[in-house]
Amino acid sequence: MKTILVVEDEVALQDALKQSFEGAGYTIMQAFDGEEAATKLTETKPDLVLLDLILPKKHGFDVLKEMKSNDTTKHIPVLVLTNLEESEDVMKSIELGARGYLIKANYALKEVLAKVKEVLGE
Amino acid sequence: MFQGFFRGLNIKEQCGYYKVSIFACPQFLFIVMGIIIIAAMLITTVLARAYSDDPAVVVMAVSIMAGFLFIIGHAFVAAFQKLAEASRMKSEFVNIVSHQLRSPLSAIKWQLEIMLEKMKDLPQEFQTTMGGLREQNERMIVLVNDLLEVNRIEDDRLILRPVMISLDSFVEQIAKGYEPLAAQAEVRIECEIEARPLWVFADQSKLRWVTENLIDNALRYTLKQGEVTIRIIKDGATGRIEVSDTGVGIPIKEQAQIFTKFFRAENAIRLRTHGTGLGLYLVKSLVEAMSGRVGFASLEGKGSTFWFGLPLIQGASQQSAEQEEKK
Repeated sequence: MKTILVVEDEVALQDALKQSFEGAGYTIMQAFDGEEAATKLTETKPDLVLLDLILPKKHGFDVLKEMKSNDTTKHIPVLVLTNLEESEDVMKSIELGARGYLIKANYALKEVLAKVKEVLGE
Repeated sequence: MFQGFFRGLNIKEQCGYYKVSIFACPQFLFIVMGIIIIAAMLITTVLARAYSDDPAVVVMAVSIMAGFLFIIGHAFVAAFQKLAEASRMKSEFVNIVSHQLRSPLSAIKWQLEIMLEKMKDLPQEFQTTMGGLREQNERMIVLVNDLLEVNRIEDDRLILRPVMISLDSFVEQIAKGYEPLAAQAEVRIECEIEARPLWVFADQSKLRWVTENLIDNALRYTLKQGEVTIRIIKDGATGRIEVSDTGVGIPIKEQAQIFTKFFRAENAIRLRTHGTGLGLYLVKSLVEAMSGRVGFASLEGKGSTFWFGLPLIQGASQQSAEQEEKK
């Protein structure tokens, strides 16, 4: 069973993602701010990370940057899942090594799930 | 202190802050006014000396002229500064509101999705209500997306990623996707391809948005048993997409405003109260940003034809046509 780390500060969104992904047979770990994300990443090595950008304590870009410069976590695929849509954000995410950029308001849970499956090669 | 002063003279930085065109930028106008004042002083000196040998008269004339122009110039620049500041605050406001709105909207979207998934066994009327909620939520998301896009266009922050696209196949595929929706609305939809392949440079997502918007509109304002036709044609060096409908049409006196932001024709509002009046404004802005043109012809009560054309990539069609033949 594959594990997904969801980094998202909004409880309602965390709940929805958890229900949807657990329903599809994934194990979900949750982090509600940037620092918690960094800790959970090194402790548990998930198979994929869903990462919001605007987070308390540490910005999503910093989480991504640190993750990609750490040998034990840099291979883990990251999908940015945010409501920001400026071109700079999209480009910076891809530059920092994110595998995809999804805008929450424009993606149904089913579509997020499909994207995750695609990245995990399932 | 001097740093601040020199930064004030850095036109590029200052105008970037206001996100307005250079001719409406207060800092640029300030420098233009300075140049005008100097020029006016020189001309006044020459003129005054031509009419009077008395240095006192010359000095007086030049001073009065300079003072007069300075006062006008100052009022002028100050007014533009106020305008530029208001425009900047408006953009920032729209940006913040839209992004903040998206968070709860996506939470509602996802929670509704989960509920609808779980409620498969519940009575039909609950499902209809929930479906209605979802539709309203989607409408709000579309509105926020459109406002963000308008804001980006007005702030000159629109970034396009043009790729080579075969316009005919691209539009044909989108049109096919509309068949179920058209059947539901009891409107016949047809796609006529008169020329292919038509290679253009365009941003894929924007081109999709423009095409979908025109077809959406055609379906929205066409009554049952009506017809929507999508025509793909080659017009000289342009690849052109025409979307015709047998809908309500646009009254002649309102036709001039149809691409104006927030404008909606009176008969359109009567038929469908929903709508922001942003769609066609965005269609025009996006097509023009991709070096294309848009236009329309309409007769009230008979229907409308909206079209957009994008410049064809020279030589590309011929080449690929030859390749096709070889196959």
